[in-house]
Amino acid sequence: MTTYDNSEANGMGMNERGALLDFPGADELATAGLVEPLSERALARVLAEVEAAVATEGTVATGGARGAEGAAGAKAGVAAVVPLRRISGRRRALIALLTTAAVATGVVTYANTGATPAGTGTHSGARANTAAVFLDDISTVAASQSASSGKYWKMRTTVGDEYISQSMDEYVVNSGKAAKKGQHPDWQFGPKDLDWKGLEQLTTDPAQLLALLQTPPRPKSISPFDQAASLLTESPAGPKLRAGLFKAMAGLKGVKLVGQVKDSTGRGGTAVEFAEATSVGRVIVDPKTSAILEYTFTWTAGPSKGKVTYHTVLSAGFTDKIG
Amino acid sequence: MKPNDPEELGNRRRGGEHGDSDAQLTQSARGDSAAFTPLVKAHSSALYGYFARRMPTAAEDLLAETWLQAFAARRTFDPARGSARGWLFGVAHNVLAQYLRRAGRKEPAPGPDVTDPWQLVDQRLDAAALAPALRRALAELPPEERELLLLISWEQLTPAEAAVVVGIPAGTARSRLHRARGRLRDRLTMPRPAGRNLTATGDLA
Repeated sequence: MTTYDNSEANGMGMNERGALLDFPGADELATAGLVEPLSERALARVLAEVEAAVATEGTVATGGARGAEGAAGAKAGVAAVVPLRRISGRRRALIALLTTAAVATGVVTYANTGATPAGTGTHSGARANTAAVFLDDISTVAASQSASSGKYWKMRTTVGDEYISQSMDEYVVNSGKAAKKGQHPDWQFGPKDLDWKGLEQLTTDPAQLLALLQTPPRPKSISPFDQAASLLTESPAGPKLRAGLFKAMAGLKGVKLVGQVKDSTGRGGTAVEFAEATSVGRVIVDPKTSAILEYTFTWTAGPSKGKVTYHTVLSAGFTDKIG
Repeated sequence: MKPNDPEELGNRRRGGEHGDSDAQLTQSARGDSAAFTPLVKAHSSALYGYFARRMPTAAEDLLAETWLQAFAARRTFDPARGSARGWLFGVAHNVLAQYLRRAGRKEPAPGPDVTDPWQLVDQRLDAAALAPALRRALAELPPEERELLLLISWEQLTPAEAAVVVGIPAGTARSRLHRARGRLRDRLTMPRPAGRNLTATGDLA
């Protein structure tokens, strides 16, 4: 996604600020904003409250506030959440509920904690294969979803609503206002660049998809894993194609099962990841629907080491109108 | 999603004078909660100023609430989308909006979530003996424009940071700010007789 604006990084932000404040009386206005500084006592009080909250959170399950899921979509990158004081009791109840539901419906969970009890050494061969096993299973889940269509592919994300039209125009809706963002870049897939139409014509056969992904990379190619992940996360690919993509992903060397994780909004899912020389891409999959809850890209070396980019999809689907 | 062009991603990530805060917030989101407290020390006085200028009677409580909500929401911070400072002011903006909603708005609601309790701000300007013409010109700005203007004047945010705070695209914020500047110039600049040294805002009636 390219919704940001680089002028800040170029140091233009402050000059621009000066230019915008170039009107008669601007200095007076600035002076009128002077206030007494925050007292030491007040700062100490705030610090104590935050430290208490930090300490409390350590004792409950990790994961973002559930409340963030709904609220985060409303504002660009800024979440309004349930005040922390009210969370822990509710969250405990919620976790209990989710656990019960998982047991009751017999949802299969995958873990790769390495904590297999001693004496089950025969499992080690099977464990090495768990990413493939999980991806094959999830492929079946993907294939069982019902097909649909519409004029736009809509994604509700933590940074606003995004729409892609059949002609690859991209729109973003923030705070109720629609803005055209330009063309959505075609999806890279091996030797091809796919637009909406190209996606519809793409094979759904796992072996052919894998072969395409494994063609030698073009300059500026993203990894085969990321190519498959972006189609699964942010394209209108139908159930058959998604099922084929999960199976093809299972055939890629180096894809690892991470196991049960929570995404940045606190939703649970199963993560698989793929490491490149200087970065790791990870997808968190909802095992019940095969939807990608979140894609994260982390630099593991180089000047940006440690930086993480999140793409969190709260919901996605076809629609015929924007807004 | 990761952009198709890795270089573009690299460009976006370079620079960033607020690197420390960004890193601390990211780090705290990834499980190192202790990384969060230095942020409180670094940004409290600026955030307190935001509330003290707009809701002086509740400034301390709103500051505490802001930090608790920021901590709870820390995983939604994305350094690629802007600075930690802008993000924290965004949380503060939401806290103030919630407070105003609870308190029941006295002024006619001027659109979605404008956290510019104008009467209180105007009292402040009055107390600061701001030129009446400037006060009036500010009062006549559309609330969204005024809010952005105050964020860059008082909070010293960049236009892009102010955009994140109120949840609009940076380009929209820029055009609103340009419009606000134009309106203020129109209202406050009068043709002056040559040789007279009238200050711009001094005695315009």
